[in-house]
Amino acid sequence: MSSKSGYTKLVRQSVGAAVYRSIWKKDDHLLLVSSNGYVERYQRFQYADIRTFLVLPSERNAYWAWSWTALTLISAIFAGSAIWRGDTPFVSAPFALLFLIGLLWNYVLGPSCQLYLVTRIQTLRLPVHRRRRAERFLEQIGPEIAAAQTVPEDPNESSTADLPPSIS
Amino acid sequence: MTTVVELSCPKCQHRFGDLDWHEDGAGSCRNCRTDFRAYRLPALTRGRDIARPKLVAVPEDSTCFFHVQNQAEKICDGCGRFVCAVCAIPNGHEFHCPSCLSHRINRTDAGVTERTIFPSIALTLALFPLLLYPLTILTAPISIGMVFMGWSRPGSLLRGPQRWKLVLAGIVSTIEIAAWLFLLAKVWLR
Repeated sequence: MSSKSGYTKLVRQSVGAAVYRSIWKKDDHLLLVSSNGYVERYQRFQYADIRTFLVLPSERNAYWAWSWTALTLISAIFAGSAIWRGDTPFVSAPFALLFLIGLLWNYVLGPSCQLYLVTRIQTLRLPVHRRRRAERFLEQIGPEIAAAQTVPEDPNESSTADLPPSIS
Repeated sequence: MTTVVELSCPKCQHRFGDLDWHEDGAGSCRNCRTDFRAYRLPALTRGRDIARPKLVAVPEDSTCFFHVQNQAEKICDGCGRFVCAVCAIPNGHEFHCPSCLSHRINRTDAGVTERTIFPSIALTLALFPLLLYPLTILTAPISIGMVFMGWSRPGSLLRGPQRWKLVLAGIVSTIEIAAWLFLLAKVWLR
């Protein structure tokens, strides 16, 4: 998805009840946008400045799995007791189904991770929480950044890849 | 094993040494035992380019516009001033002095760090208070104000000015104000 200003969206992830962060790319930099819907804050990372991406494992997947399992079990117990009493579990059964879908969805999303962007002056956590998505993100953007940082063999040869951003 | 030494663990800030790396691109922090995988880029092993100015050797040397003690090494492609290695800032294929670069950043979106999204504020103020409609007597005029404030502002860097939201907010707020005026007039004339 491209924006009006030529940015292409890579990732969008909510980080709170009303806050989301997204990563966009342009020809020579990544743009990290933090927004609450009314104010947007922008951080730019020139391809030439990005030194590495660090992927660390996280417990997020396990926490979600435990939470969904507990909620599913509690709802199932209520549904079971309603059936035992001869009632129809109008409330607890749909909730149990909903929590089960959440549990399955968490499983489908796969293992979780923390993705960090490292430049010479800062290490910043990116809004990517699943390993599969992080790998996809790195496959998408990694070669482009590496190409932008590759120095041409002939020093006299002009290359736009390694040049700093142009502000016209 | 790699020779990367200038990376730190994001969790405990321990600086990775050779022993932290198990293989090329992966390892485990010796301090907090966190496994990590690094997507290494050429900039990781590249040295830092530090611009060092040359002092004026003979009085006939051209000097930097900003630092009279430094030799001029480049000409600013924006204003044509002589500048030293410190002041010559690479900008694409060109070199610019700090003041030219500052002017260019201010003229374009390249230096924008924050934007207030007036269309969203105006629309929220116009629509959400309808749930508690007495509030609209306060929020509708504020929403109209936001519409006027936001009309000439650039809006979101990604989604543009979003004038349709301002138009919608303006229409809804105008209807709300008209409804209040009608209601007050009706009460007044009774």
